Amino acid sequence: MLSILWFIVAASAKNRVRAQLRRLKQPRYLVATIAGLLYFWSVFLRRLRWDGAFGDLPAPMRVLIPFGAGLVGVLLILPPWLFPKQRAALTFSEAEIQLLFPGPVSRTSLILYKLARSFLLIFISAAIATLLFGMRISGHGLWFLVGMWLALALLTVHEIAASFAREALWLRGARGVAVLFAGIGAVVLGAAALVFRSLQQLSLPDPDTLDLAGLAAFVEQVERTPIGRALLPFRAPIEAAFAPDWIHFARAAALAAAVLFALTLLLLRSDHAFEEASVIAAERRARQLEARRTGHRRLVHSQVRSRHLPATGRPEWALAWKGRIAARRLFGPQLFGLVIPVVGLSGMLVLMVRMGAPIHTAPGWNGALGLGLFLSALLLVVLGPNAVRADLRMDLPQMDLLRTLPLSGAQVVAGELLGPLGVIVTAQWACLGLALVVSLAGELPQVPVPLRIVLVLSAAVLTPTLTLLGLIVHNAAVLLFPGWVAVGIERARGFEAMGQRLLTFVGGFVVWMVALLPAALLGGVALLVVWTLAGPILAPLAAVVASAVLGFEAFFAVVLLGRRFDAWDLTLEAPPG
Amino acid sequence: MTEPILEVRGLTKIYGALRAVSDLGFSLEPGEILGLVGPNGAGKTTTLRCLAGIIPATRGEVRIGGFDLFRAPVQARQHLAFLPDEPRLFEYLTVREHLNLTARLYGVKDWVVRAEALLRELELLDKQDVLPSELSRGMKQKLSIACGFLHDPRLILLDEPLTGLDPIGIRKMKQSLKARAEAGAALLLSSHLLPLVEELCTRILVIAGGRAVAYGTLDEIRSALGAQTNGEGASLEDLFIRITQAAS
Repeated sequence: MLSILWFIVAASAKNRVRAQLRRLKQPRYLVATIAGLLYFWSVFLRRLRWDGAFGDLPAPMRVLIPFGAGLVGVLLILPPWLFPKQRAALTFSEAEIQLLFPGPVSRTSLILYKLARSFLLIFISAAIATLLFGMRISGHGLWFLVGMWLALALLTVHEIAASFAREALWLRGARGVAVLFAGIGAVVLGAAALVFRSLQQLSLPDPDTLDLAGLAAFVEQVERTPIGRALLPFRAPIEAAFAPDWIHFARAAALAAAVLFALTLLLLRSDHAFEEASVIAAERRARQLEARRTGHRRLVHSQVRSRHLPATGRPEWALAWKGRIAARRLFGPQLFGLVIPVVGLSGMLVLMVRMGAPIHTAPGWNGALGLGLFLSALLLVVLGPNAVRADLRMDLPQMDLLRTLPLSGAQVVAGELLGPLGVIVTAQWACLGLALVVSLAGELPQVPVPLRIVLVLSAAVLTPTLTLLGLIVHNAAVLLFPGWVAVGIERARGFEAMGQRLLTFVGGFVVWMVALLPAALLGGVALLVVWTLAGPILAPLAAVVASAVLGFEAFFAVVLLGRRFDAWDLTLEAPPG
Repeated sequence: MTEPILEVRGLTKIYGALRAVSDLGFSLEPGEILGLVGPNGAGKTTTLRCLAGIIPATRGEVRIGGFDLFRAPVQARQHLAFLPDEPRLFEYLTVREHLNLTARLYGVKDWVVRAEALLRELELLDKQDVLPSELSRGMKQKLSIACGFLHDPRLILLDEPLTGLDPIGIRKMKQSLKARAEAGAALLLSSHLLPLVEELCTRILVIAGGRAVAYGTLDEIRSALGAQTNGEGASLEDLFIRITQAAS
């Protein structure tokens, strides 16, 4: 079985590297990889210390860290038992299900195969952690590596074992569930009894004089109590990672390894619920992969009803209609979720201002809520296009279908943009409308009512074109650099992906700034003129000028992207089917 | 003589060093069903994708309903329906919404009546408010077919159209394809199911290595081949094997 594992892992890694190297022949991917390498070097490698001056961790921390890790370990092992509907821990891919399940492979071998694979991935994670900070803080890289590996492996094996035991008990019905909760209850009661006994043996330190060394001494005292000894298996791997000498390391590592061995043995011997747990998880995984292939990873809320679309009229509105349905079904709750924290944060901000400001200048609660809603509308200009991806970002896997439609490229791009735009602008205008209504009913001493109306109207005029610009930037990235967009099953990884994200972010920011410049200039001139002539009351006219400039820019961008869509050769981006 | 609905001249598609389709030429008149057959990797799907405008051809000319697919793609696609082997659907639109979307895209005014007839024919009438994720593979294929047929296309490109359909669905699909051809549509059908091709198609184009190696009615191919290799009376399967083996 190990030879199969090695073959799968080695072949996958080799093919992935080969594909990435092939992609490097295209300059844009080469640039992305160089950018990613530079970023990795500047953020991580440059800070590595190779001078041997490791181990600058204060001595008390060598006691406190393992103890704290032990407590964290206790917290981490609870959820798989307490939340029975959590995901199954042992998941197989579609290919593994198809090839290995019907094959002459025993159940134990399958578990061993998955465990070995997990252990290998954990080793890589532990090695990276050791390289980045473990050598520096622990003082001994190898011990840190072993300790980290043991800690992560223990958590993984425990999670799988817990999922098997849980599934087995749930399959037994009410009796099994009763046994499960009785077991959890017994453990909790036992722990409480140990804590009670331990507290009787402890002399609590004076909090006023407690320093790091005093805290470490207290923790050492706790470690000698019954609860401290019960925590020993939990803190053993981290004790190994931070061991001061060989003896401590060997003792802690041996204990952790023994626990790991025992858990693994238990796992391999359990004959319950393996099929159920793994197949259910595999099906879920297959659904996730299917969702990723089709371009979205969220559940579709089919109960969201759509309006009938008239059969006549401009055909690109059909795509806008489609996008609006998708936005509401896939991203509606997310958009709503964006507004609530913004309003909440604004409220907190106002509360802080209110606490510090003289009472006659402080905003009332209605005013604060209005301000929060106003800020939400503005923030949706940036957050909305990020969150509502019901456009080409989602439809890229359906490019075959889009290309056969009787629409020009510009019509497809426009239609794809209009759907999410409609949904985001509706949310923005709802926020602005509510902001005005709420603020009119409340107190906002520093912003007189006419100014509030001017601000809301100006924002209402500007937000659609600004949001459209944001959507264009995101969709331009899809059309210009489709290999950089995370769709399909072959997702970019490693340095290339790191560089891609970096360049996409910087590129988007630059495009955004360049596009805003003419609008800001012309809008600024217009504002100056209307302000001089009639004061702030006509400021929305300046917003109309700025919005018109943005609208022109958006129009030309859509035309250019449409040409790109028309000329796009799918076969240059992906191998022929 | 009737004006062809589809005219293909010198169609060539090159991927890097691979010549997937090479100098392909044929035409399709109203009422004709052309079978496109060839071994795996012969270039059938690439040909269909080029003809549907999904991927640009490296060279050549494609005219659909008199419109150049590469110069006037919108007008050309107005007459076209492409039914791939793997149905392409929007996972967030229901069955009815797919048809509504198609109706608006192609300006089908009486779409409600047509959609109902198609859904009844394809036994999807009770699935109107269902999302594709809730449909079986065959039902998805049927929805894709319903969307393709809604605007009464003059040219229908089909890539393995029977994949996923049950026996009754297959029979209905064959009847429907024949009926559409009789009504004046031209069909280009790519399939490995040679009995299906033999049953439905009026002419056959065999391609291998991206090149046309045989073209004509079954009798024409038979007689052309019979002159060389005693192909008289042979089935399409026999002919296919001889032709493709000779080509390789």
